[in-house]
Amino acid sequence: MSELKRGGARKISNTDEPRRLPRTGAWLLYLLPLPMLIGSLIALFKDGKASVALGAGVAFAVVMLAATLIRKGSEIESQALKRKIVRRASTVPYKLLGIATLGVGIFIGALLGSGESLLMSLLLGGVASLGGLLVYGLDPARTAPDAPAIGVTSEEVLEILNEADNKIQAIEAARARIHNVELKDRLRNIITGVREIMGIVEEDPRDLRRARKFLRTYLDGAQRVTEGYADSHKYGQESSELESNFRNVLTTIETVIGEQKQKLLENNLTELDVQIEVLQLQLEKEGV
Amino acid sequence: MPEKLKKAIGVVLLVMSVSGVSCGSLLNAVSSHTASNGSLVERVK
Repeated sequence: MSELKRGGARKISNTDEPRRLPRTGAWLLYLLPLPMLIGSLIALFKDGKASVALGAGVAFAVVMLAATLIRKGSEIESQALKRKIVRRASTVPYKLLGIATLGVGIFIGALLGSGESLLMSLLLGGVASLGGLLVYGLDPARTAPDAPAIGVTSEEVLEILNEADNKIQAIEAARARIHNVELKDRLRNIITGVREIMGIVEEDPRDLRRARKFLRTYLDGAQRVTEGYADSHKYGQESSELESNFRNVLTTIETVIGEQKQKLLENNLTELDVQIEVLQLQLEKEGV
Repeated sequence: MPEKLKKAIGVVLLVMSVSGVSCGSLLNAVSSHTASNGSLVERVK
């Protein structure tokens, strides 16, 4: 048994308070350089200096690139913080690259576009980068501190949770195409149950060892069955036998979810694996 | 330094530098155009 306390090692926070996510927009950087573009166009089409047109145009393009890089970095950070697990956000430090690019863009704009001296241009570029650094911050840490301690990496946990999220969304989409109220309610309860299991795994990623099979293989089966049933509705192929089979499968899924939650709490791995094997066979047999 | 103060200073620096250079480029473009073509008032005269 690991000496780590359950749920204590991998969480950023163990409170249920919603965390404030950073804003992903860099709209200020898209808006402020607009006069540079206008200046470049005026210089280009109204017999102005070519160096001003070129300088302002290049500076505008570089600052737009910087804004896009910073926005991408902020989006990745925001995605990473949605989960309670610390993740390696990105191998590319988008924000840092964006902030450096911003400084270069402002330097070019000041030197060639505005006609400032070299020293003043360097100063303005530096001030812009400092401002960007204070507003948008740096990229989050690239490594999770205690990954080896629990036998799974945070990347692996997040990948499986994101996959499960996608499967749940597919089940929800299929559910919307089913018109039977009772079946819709049962599917909603199933989705809630799966989300609870995901919550347990997110709280303590060591549980992934026990929930991996459920979240990958079994949830995949549940998605296929639900989509198949919803499609049969769409094409008007519904029959009492099909509906009865689907109800049986739903009952099975409900049982498995209940047992999965129970086993996660009890840490009984072997028995659960056997249950899942049995249910997979049943899914194949029902042929929904 | 509190996070809000840090961000406020950052916004001020960002707005000052980016909009300063941006408006500077626009003014420079307009003035270079005026220098080569003469001002509107001069042309009317």
